[in-house]
Amino acid sequence: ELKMLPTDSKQRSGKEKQQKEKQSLPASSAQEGKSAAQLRAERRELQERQRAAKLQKQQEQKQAGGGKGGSKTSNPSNKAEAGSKKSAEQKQSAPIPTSADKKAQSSKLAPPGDTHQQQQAANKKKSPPPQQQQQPADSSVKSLPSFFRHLKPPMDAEQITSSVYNEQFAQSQIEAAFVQLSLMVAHEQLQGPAARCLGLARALRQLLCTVPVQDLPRLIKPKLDPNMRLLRSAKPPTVLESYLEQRLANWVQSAGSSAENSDHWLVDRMNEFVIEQIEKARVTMRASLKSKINNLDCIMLYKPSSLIFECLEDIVSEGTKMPDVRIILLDSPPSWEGQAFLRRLQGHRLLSKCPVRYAMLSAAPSLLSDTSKLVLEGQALTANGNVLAPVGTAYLANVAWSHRIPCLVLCHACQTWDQVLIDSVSYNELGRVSSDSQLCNIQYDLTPGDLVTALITERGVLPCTGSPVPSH
Amino acid sequence: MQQQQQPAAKELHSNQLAMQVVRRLSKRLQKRQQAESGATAADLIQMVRREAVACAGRDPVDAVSQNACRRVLKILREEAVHSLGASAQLLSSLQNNLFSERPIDYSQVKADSLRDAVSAAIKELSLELETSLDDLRSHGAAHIGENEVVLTLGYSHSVARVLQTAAATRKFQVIVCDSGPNFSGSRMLQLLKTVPQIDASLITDAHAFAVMSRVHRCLLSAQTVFADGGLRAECGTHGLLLAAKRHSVPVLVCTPAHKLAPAYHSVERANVYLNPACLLEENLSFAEVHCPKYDLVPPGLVTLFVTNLGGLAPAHLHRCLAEQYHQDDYSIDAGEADGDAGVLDDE
Repeated sequence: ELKMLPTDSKQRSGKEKQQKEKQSLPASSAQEGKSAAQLRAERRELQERQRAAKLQKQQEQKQAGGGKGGSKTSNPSNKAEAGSKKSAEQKQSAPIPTSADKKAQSSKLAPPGDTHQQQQAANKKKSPPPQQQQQPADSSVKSLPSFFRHLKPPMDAEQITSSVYNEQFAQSQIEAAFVQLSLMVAHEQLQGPAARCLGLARALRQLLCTVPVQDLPRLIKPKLDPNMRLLRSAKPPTVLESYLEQRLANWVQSAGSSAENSDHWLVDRMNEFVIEQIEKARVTMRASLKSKINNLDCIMLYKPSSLIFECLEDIVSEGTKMPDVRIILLDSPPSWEGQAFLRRLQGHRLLSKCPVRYAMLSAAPSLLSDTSKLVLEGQALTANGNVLAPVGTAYLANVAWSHRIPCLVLCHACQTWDQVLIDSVSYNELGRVSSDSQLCNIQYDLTPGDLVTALITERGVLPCTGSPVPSH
Repeated sequence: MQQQQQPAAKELHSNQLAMQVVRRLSKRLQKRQQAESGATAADLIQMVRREAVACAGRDPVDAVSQNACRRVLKILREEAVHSLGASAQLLSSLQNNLFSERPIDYSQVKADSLRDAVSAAIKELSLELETSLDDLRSHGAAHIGENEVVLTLGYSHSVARVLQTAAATRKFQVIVCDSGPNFSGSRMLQLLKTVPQIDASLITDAHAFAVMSRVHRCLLSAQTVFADGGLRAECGTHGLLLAAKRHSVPVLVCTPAHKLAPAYHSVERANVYLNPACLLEENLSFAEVHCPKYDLVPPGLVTLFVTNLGGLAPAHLHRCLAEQYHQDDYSIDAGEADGDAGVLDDE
């Protein structure tokens, strides 16, 4: 109905104009020299023009509805037309999907900004999940800044399960481990850069066990694809995850004849990867970080993960050599990771050696006079030397830079990314917020490389410009 | 849990606070003039200075009451000089102050002779204070263009007014930063959502750097503006201004002129620290919580101060100060407090 309004109002205003003309007729006709018949003809012309415009609009809608659906026979397209007209009117007011509407909605022109939903809709031709289309497109509830509207909103558990049903409907098997992993990822239960990669490794191990070794090179890809699709639909992959995938593909390709390989060669390779690239790397990074921390230092932390916790434990167990290290812990809503860290510290022997100060991120500038260095964790290192990290890191790095405080970023060497980013807007993820909150929560932001003093990787301590390229 | 529970006290806007102080002072001045026949201008000035000290004692962070006292003092001094005649006026001009050996002697002026002039001037002052927020918003709205993205922090009456005025004639986006521990951003968002031409959204201040590359203007308010261009503003402002500086985004600070204090930000370290319970629960209290309400922002980060007297560059703050307050009143020491200093008269 809303779409009908402009033309209606035009008609109304046109009629009003005509009425006004009518009223002024007796006075002006004599002066203007137009006859009543001429005026009537003009009015008729105006009405017909408006009617034509209205018809054209409707035809455009039909065309758009028909075009988006791809290959369609005449009957479904008629249905789609009827549905699209109805849905055009109903969509503005939170539609209850009927079967005709469902089909039409899958092919309907979505309101601008929902391009990602469009693509998803186009992908799932067979049975579009109704819940996804029902996400309120009206911005009265909560609106994102316009430059973030290209980001996909986070998935729900129901959406994941419906995607699982879709895949199974298309006769591909999904491992339980992957479903669990997708759910955990979608609900942001995996924190820290390596956690998701480890989760993926675990799920892959389970998957590989179901495939007999001889058929591995042949079967692995078709088995893996639907699982990875599900996982990726929950959240875009982190750099470590994509790296693991790449390596997996390489191993399978370079496998050679299966005779010389042991029974679990792929799982072994993967375990090796995990140990080398993640666990040993962590040990090396902890040692590097420890070497950078001196006596009487006050370290500022933001969104610290278990890596930093273990490093602090190392420092404290050092004993008499490093008696006085203080921590400033910064925190920000809505994830409140600082408080989670505090809970971890509760009752820990760290506290006796290491007094902790807690503050909000906004209080950081007032605390910097006390700080010796800032330790952060990076998610990825872009190809042009910027650091993608949890949101707030760039804010903090900038503040520290203005006060001449060194900023150290912990990053695995294989977290190097081939994407090139210059700001936090083009690539990002929407985070999860509680339903009554109006906050727009973004997961990552981009720290420009010149704000970072040093990048601590397992291959050494480097400036941001010297990002290592992982070997294949 | 994380929202700070604001006490349900009557919330005064800064100009209302200033008007209260001015009203109070004018009543006391009248009383004094009626009571003592031999009162001189010097006595009146002394009385108002003591009141200023009392204001500072009650609330070290509040500069507006002190500034209101300073405005009244300026009125008194000006009228006294005026009544002393032309020679005294010449003496008090800026150039002669450097070379004059005799300061103006206010005890020569009788309070009675000042009464009418002072009360008229105080009425003008009250009017100016009352309309200060209205004057401010038209000056501020001019700097926001069509389809621009404006970033703001927390809730501020002045900024809300400016945005509403701008929205009357053009469409733009506002991103509100919600910063702890005050969390007043959602209040601003609720207000802006009722304005039809504004597309408002809420982020935390951790996102400030991330969105700054897309922001055209930063529109903020301050609790106090210092003479060197520094600010005392809501916590989170400093980080936001640093991000704006990095991205070269113009920063407009909307404050009425009575928030301009003749003090330096490096000297004034007064701040309010909030109850840690607003951030942390009981069992985590082993950590020392740092929870300031205000940020003390150093100078050099603000592009323009939008006041009710117009736009003011940070380098010209001293001129506005000189017009508003008398030089002798720039520093009011606590040592002057005695006698009836702490007495709050009836309103």
